[in-house]
Amino acid sequence: MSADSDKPSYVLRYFDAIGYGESIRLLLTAANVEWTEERPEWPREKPNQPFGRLPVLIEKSTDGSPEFLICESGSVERYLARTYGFLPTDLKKAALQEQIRDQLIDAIVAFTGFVRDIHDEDKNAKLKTFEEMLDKIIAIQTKNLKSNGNTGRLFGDSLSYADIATYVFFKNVAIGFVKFKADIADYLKPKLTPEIIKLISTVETDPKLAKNVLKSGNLVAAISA
Amino acid sequence: MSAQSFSYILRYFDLIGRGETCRLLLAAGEVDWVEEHPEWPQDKEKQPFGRLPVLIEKSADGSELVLSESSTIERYLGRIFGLLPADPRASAIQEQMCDRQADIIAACLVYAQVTAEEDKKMYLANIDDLFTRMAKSHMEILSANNCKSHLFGDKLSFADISLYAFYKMMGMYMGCYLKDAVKITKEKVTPEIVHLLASIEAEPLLASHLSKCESLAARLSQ
Repeated sequence: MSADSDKPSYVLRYFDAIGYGESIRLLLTAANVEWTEERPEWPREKPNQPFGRLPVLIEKSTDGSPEFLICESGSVERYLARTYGFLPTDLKKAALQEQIRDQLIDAIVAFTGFVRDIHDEDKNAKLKTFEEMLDKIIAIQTKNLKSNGNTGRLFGDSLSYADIATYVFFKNVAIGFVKFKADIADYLKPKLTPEIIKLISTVETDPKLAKNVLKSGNLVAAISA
Repeated sequence: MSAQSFSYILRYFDLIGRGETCRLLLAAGEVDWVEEHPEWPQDKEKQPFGRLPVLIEKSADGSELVLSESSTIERYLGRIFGLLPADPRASAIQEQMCDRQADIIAACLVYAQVTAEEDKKMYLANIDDLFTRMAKSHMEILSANNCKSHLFGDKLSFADISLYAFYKMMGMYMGCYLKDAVKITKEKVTPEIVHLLASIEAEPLLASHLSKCESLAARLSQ
């Protein structure tokens, strides 16, 4: 499927990592728009970013109007999800998906703190928080998936923002975090419920994502090994 | 759908923390709302995500919407009250500012919790860097706006409310954990930002809530 040339094109600036960029990559892929990625040299390019951080998304219109820059991963994701129909227009339904993403990010932030903190007491407190949040996330998502008929989708019957955010969360834990904590994938695997495994497989095999989803690794394989 | 047909409960601690923006939005929304202060940690497992804040929206027909996560609650209230623009680009510009503020507040809450001096120093350096950049962005946004009493346009917006709660956190709450919090905040604010804070404080819709507290603009002008 070639991209629709009336739609804007995009440039994503991020690191070579899953982190806070992967959901954006998958949303751009699912939206079927033209997009490229830049990998700024870091920290050399830090001063050249609007807020000294990545990701940054640049939207280029076809009508010659100036480029539009958005920063902050959550804002970028919500902008793309709203624009391309991966978040419902109903505000209540959209909020129910947004809160899922926010909860997942809280857990990522806890793990990032575990990596960054220097002293064991602080590190261990963060790791414990991450583990508690992970258990909570798995329990809540499993319940949501069951309520939606265990179809591998959190809401409705097509790929949603919440599905993408959840898939990326588990990809961060099972693949992205391994270089910071070698046993983290083995810690995660026994906790995964059949419902969550089905969500992971449903997202990873969605035709809308086929072009790019495996570039950052094969999550189904990583959790099955 | 009229917001008047709903009533709201905000569950949070009796703190500024991650709840103040929600309180100010509910005040600005002119809706029926109350606050609950759950016993903690006794009531932790009663919350959907085991955390606060939680927003409960009750409609006239008895149905309820329960939302968690402060940022989601804030954006939801902002959208239903028309304080966050419907246009996706205009909304994204306000949202990204508020996301950055939320990151700084989160870093402050972590700073308060870490025990080792080296970790405290690391978080403080990060907070200082982010806060300096944030204040610079606030000035850039304000300078680009014709009206100097608001960040965008000439009416109270989501961004105004979020900015106010942010400076309240840094200037009045962080002092519990960081001796120099007020001094650091005063170093970063400009007279223009103080004027903006004073204007927001004077908004009739927010007066019911803010009249119970010390004036932030006055504190930062001393």
